[in-house]
Amino acid sequence: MASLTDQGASKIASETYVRNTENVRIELPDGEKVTYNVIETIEDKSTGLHGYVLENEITNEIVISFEGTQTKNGMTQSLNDIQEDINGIVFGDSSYTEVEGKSVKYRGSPSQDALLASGQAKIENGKFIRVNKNQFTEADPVVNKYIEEHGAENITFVGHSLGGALAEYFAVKYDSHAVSFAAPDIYNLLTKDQKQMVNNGDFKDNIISYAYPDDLVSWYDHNSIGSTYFLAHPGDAGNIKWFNNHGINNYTANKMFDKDGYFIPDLLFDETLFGHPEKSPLAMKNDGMENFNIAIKTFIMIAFSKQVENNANLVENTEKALGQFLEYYEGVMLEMKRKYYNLAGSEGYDLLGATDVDDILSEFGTIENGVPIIFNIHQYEEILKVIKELQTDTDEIAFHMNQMGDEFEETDILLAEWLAY
Amino acid sequence: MTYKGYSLVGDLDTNDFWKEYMERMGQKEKLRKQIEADLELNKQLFAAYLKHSYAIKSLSKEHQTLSNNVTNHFEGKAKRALTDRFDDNIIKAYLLNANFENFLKHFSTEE
Repeated sequence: MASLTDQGASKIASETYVRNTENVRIELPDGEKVTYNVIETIEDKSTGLHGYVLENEITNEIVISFEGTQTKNGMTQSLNDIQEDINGIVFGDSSYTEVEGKSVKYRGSPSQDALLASGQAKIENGKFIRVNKNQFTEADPVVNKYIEEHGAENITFVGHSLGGALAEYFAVKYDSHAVSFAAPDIYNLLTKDQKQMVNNGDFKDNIISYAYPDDLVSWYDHNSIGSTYFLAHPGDAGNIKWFNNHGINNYTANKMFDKDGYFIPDLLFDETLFGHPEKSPLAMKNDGMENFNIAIKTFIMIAFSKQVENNANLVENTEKALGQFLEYYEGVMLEMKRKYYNLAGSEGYDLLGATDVDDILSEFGTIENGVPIIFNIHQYEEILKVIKELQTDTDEIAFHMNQMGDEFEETDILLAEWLAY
Repeated sequence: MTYKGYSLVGDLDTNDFWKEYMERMGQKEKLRKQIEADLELNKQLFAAYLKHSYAIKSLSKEHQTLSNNVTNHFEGKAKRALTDRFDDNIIKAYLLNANFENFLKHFSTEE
């Protein structure tokens, strides 16, 4: 196995919650075993930062993982931590990730002194400078060291929740790779230029985020940094978001993966088209496919157009069958009429004749082609007319959607231009 | 004197006519009921044929979902064009359903 799989990434994200880990062993459904050895532990007690730098035993691929929000201190504490993540990350801005804030004149005010005393500010050359100290600022030197040693291209960041936010952030900062689970939105933490790159779709191939649509953390003010895939249909999630599906254990069950250790495509939903990809995005990326995000959307668009095509066929069949209804109706009614023609004049009805049968039948509806029509023929004709129109425009929609699927790449570029990305 | 029975009086032909007429009307009413019962059975056949033929009941709902999914992704002209097409199609399919349901009532066997 040459590359990090979905199963490997979720196992590493999960194992990062464990202290003093020496390695992470991943057993793929096909029995293949992959080991990532810990080569450095990333730790800062004051900010709660914890993570590992791991190396694939065979390929030497480097994975840097970050622990997410603490959940071992009980649900109440966990919710507080998650809320802090949201407040710090989602509502933060790019200064949150900068070690130093703007310098201002030191006036000796009580608030400046309080910040100095708590270590949240320092004085340098007579200037008062706010000091940021959080997991983003504290992880950066270690990350930077490995980027220098191995190159951004050869590193994948992994994490769950807050760890996922750190993973995505460093993948953007160093133009590297990330696989995140249930990560909060980091868009506000990015610089103007980085935001522009996100808007350009520059990270769609490099940063893959997995989330549940009803997870409040992942959905709070959601902006996708790379490509996001949901593990349930976003349309089924409703408007109520909570933390039920937030835990990393929602991403690690063996049954979620195929034999190669990638998420089963039927479990995944594209974030905008809400359709299933053909393969896990990470599998496509590891297969060397460029612009897999567009390939996935193309696949979904074609699947959608096929659905409309099938519906156009259903409309055509309905039109045919309903069009034959009148013939069927007349056949059944004529058969009935013949039966009563024969009955008239026979025993029990010896005083009756064919006219009596016609007479009775005419009581049930206007006689057309010798049989009474017991329904509104104009309504029937109107239904046939509308079905014909419906068939024409369903066909047209299917045709255009097919074209959009075929030319998705060009369409995507066109749309991007329209959006003035 | 013993009772000697009825004596036929008046126009004997007229009496026969009415007798036969009443009998004929009785036969006709019996036949009407039989035809009516047969028609009720036929209505069930027609309703079954129509329901079986009408395979597009869920089309408006399906196309609504598809429209939401696809237009989620697009902006601008493409979104508008596709949404308009879908909207027209969805409304048409929805009204068709209502019209068809109404049409089926002609074949209802409930009184």
